[in-house]
Amino acid sequence: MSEAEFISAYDRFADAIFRHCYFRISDRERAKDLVQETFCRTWAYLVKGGEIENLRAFLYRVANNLIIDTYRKKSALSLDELAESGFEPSVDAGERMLKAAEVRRAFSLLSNLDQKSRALVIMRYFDDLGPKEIAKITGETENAVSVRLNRAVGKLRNFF
Amino acid sequence: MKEFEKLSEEMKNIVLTQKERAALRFSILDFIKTNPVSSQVLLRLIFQRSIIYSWQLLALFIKKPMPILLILALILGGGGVSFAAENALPGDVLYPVKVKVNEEVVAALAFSPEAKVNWEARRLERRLEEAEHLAEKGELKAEVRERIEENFERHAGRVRVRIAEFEAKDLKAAADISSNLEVSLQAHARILAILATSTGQATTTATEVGKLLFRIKTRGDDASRLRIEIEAKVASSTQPEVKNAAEGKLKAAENKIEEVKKFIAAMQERLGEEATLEAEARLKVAENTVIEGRAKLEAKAFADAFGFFQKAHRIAQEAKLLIKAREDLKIDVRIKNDEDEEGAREEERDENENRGRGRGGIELELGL
Repeated sequence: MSEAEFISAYDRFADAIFRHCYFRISDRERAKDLVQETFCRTWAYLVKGGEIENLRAFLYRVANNLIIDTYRKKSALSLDELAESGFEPSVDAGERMLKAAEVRRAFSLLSNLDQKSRALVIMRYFDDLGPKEIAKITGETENAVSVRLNRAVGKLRNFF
Repeated sequence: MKEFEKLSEEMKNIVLTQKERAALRFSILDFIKTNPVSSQVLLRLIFQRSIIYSWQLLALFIKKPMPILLILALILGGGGVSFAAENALPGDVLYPVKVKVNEEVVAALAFSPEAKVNWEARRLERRLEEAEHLAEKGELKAEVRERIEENFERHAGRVRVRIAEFEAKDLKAAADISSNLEVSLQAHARILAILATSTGQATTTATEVGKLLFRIKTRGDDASRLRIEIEAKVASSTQPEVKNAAEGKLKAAENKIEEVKKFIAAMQERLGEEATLEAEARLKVAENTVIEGRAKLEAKAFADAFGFFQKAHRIAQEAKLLIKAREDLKIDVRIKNDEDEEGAREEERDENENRGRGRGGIELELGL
């Protein structure tokens, strides 16, 4: 992989990775940091001679691990607490008018799920990743992913 | 779930702003530039390619007619032949594969200007390593030495040109490359000097090595001068630029020292106690140089700090090159500098004329 190819991968996937991180840790600034960290670590892996079959999945995998580390490091901000305290998601100024309400709704819905299920729902519905890819990213079996995803969806159904 | 899906669609509109994207992109690009793909990795890429790739390789890169058996070997052997060619010396059957196929493919794979010039410099080193192996075997004949010299000069010339290009648009990179070139040439000059004088050398080898050595020293002195020139240019940049350069160099120097530390640890058994101690002592000098640089950084003497960090980087790199030579060539090259450190530093500060002697000065009496 050349430098030119890699940076064009950034152009393609930056938004998606950002969005994924944002909805999982509900912090725009930290999400941006994670995007940078994800791409830099991926490049470092390539420089060391690592081979990557599916770059998109690899990026999500790195991001996923970084997010899990983030949870471990700080006493995880409970989205429940946030939702109750009238949490105002840090939507960008341009997005504020149109999206704040929907984003709050999305966060609120997601807060009803546990961390793992939330991750799966975001990957399936926000990132359009297939069950196989999700399995590779999370390191679980396709079956386990399907089962957990179905349960999560079932739970969400109650809120509509 | 349709409602959630609808909501999800909306959420896909959450993106980075232009500014945010650009800022992140810039940071990542910077990271890429400071961590270029090594030529080792690029080489491995070639070895792993399939037979189909070999066809394309041949079509693109073979300019001179090659023996048909060799072509067949490449096609059928694919990566295996490329890999085997890596140890070839001038005169070996596979040498053309090493230089005309492997090296050209890596050159083509190197996209950024930095990667290109780094590879060019590495090719220069490979020519010197080949000369060293031949000299060690006592097989460095005039004809071969001439060819190696030709190739060496060609690569050195190209690196020189690229450094000039970098001077115009990326002073930091120019500083890096010129510093690396300097240490590379000086280290190999030392190695060849040892080879010329080791016992049991046929006089023809010694003579030929001497001739090559002359070229290398000339280029080495030139590289030194260039490096000092560029450091002066860095010194005359704007304050924030010099500060930035110094901080970047500090990181680079520390990383290099770490790298060489690990290298020494890995080579410890093969090196033996004495050489290991020497190498570690050398690294200590590099670390002390970093400390001096840090002091300058604190005192906001950024240009001086930059110089110190570059020097520390060179010291560490030189140690690595000399260790490698001990291991590859089984020669007894000392990993310490014979000259007085203080004296050497003052010489360097002297911006131009008194640059007579190179470092690690082992004087040869070969009647050049």
